[in-house]
Amino acid sequence: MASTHAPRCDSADLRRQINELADYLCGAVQGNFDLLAVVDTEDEDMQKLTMMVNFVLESARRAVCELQQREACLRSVLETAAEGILTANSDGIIQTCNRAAAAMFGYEPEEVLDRPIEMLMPDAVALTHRMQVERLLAQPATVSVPAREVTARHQSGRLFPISLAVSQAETRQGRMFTAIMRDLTEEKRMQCELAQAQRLESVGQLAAGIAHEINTPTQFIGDNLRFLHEGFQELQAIMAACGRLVEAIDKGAVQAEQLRDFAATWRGSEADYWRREFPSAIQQSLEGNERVASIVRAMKEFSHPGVDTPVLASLNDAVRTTVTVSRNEWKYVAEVELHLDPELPEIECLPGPLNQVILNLVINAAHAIEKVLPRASAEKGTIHISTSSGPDSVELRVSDSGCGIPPEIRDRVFDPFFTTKEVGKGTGQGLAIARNVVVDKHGGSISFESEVGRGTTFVVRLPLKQRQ
Amino acid sequence: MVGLIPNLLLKLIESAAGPETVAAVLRQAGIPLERRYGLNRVYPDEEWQRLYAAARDLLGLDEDRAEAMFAEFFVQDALARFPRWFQMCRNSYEMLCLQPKIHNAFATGCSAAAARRVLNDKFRTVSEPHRLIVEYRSPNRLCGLYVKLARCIATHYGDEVDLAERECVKWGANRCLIEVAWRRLLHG
Repeated sequence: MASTHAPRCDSADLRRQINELADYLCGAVQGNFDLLAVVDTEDEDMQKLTMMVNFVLESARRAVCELQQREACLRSVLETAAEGILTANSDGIIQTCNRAAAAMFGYEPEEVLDRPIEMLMPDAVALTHRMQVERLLAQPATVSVPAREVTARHQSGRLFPISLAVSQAETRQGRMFTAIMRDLTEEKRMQCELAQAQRLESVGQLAAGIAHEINTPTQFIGDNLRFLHEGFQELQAIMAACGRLVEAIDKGAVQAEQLRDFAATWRGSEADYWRREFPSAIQQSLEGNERVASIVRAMKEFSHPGVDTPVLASLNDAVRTTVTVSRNEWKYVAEVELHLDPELPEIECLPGPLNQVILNLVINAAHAIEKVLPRASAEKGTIHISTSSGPDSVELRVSDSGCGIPPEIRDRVFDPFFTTKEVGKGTGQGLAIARNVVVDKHGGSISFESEVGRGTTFVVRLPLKQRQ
Repeated sequence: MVGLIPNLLLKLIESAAGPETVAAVLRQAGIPLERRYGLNRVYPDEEWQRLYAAARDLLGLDEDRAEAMFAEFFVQDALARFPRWFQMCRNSYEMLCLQPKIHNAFATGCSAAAARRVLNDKFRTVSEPHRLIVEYRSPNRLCGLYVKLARCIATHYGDEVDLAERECVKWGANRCLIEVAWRRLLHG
């Protein structure tokens, strides 16, 4: 008679089967997931156990396979990432390094693995690096360091700027740090070029106005010189008559004829007129000359030769200079009022870029005023420029009585290439460069207050000293 | 065919009609009386088909009735034998999503890769929220059993389902396509 009841194993069989299953599990522990547990048994419970072991092995095999695929995918993402990505343990030993990171520093990835991360830093940074790691280790692993600019060291010894963001995670090997880096060398060069281009654009824009500014005094200096030349020709006749008279006096034989001749010459001339007019013509010419000289001086100061390191300079002088060179840009639409703090201390700054900031603000102010003035009107607005000092900074305010900045674009005015000006009047780089110069290059701040229809005030704050 | 199915069928016959009927079924199917179906072994599909036909014939059950009885018995046995599978799932949706894996777990006992692949390819599922499409390919044509098992499992979890067979090999299709849609899940 057929029975569906399977025969039971004896204990020796059971031990053998359990040992066989244990062998399969040991194999899996050693990473061999491809084996299938095949246990020769009629015992249904043992069959079930075998099946479960196989199920676990299969699940583990799939999980490992999935993990390997994910790891391969992640590795591929890391390897193809444009950003340099490396990980280091809490001892600062590099654990992984993608190709971009290695290339950034001039190495092959395997050349940096298992080596201290300080090899990628200049000595001065390496000295403080350990302290920074200790600070991070004292904080929860969720704390990350947002991207900031730091100096890195290339294999060749060349120092170069990078953007560095650090995150951390707790792993079984302890705290692990992930650094995401971007080489800023090219970006910096582009920024410089952009700033230079904008400066050249400004110079070009100012050139016509400056020519006009120089032309006016040159014109009246010329007129005065012609006037003096004409007067001098008459004076030469008088002087010749005087000479002859003096000669006669020296000989002791002054004759009445000679005296009459001199008197006729004198009366025939406009000597009184020249005597009255010459001083003012000379004075005007000197003033004109001084005006030209001051414009040339301002232009020279404005085009301050680029310096890489900050120098002590007067913000008030920068304001005066810029107002002078830009006169033709604002004089038809605005009066400029200066309220410069006479006690303003000199600041450590890059004078050339700073002049550019003031120029951009003044030109923007003039354009804002121009927008609200009726066409062909003699009416003018006001640009008010003031300086003041605080305990460790100076402040520059440039206010205009122009159109104001509409609220909907206020968060974009510092964006590069953002402009509301008509084509040919602005490229949208002025305020972006101003921000770059003030914030990035000087560690200062730039902000504005604006009321539509009333005007705008830009406030620039600059530290007295630059951080090393 | 994994051995669990014929194993359970014989148990069902024995519990319903006694060991003599089991022997009669095996004889009619031309299967040796001493055959013991191991849960995790694989047997020829054709042998199962003979066994199932003989069982229905000798028990006088039409296909629908036979499937209903077998499904009921199958689920009760599974609940007793594999309670963890059921505890792992919060509801019948999760259980039916897991079902192909469980089915394939039985197949893992088969060391012949080709036979294992055939078993693994029998069920494919596409899961959507509150909906499961099951593609079943097997010469054993147990799609009806699947539908009844699915209903039993839903009842076990207290869920409400609509079951519909969209395609069937019995209608000339090359596969069976079963749609399970949940009207209500008691848990989750």
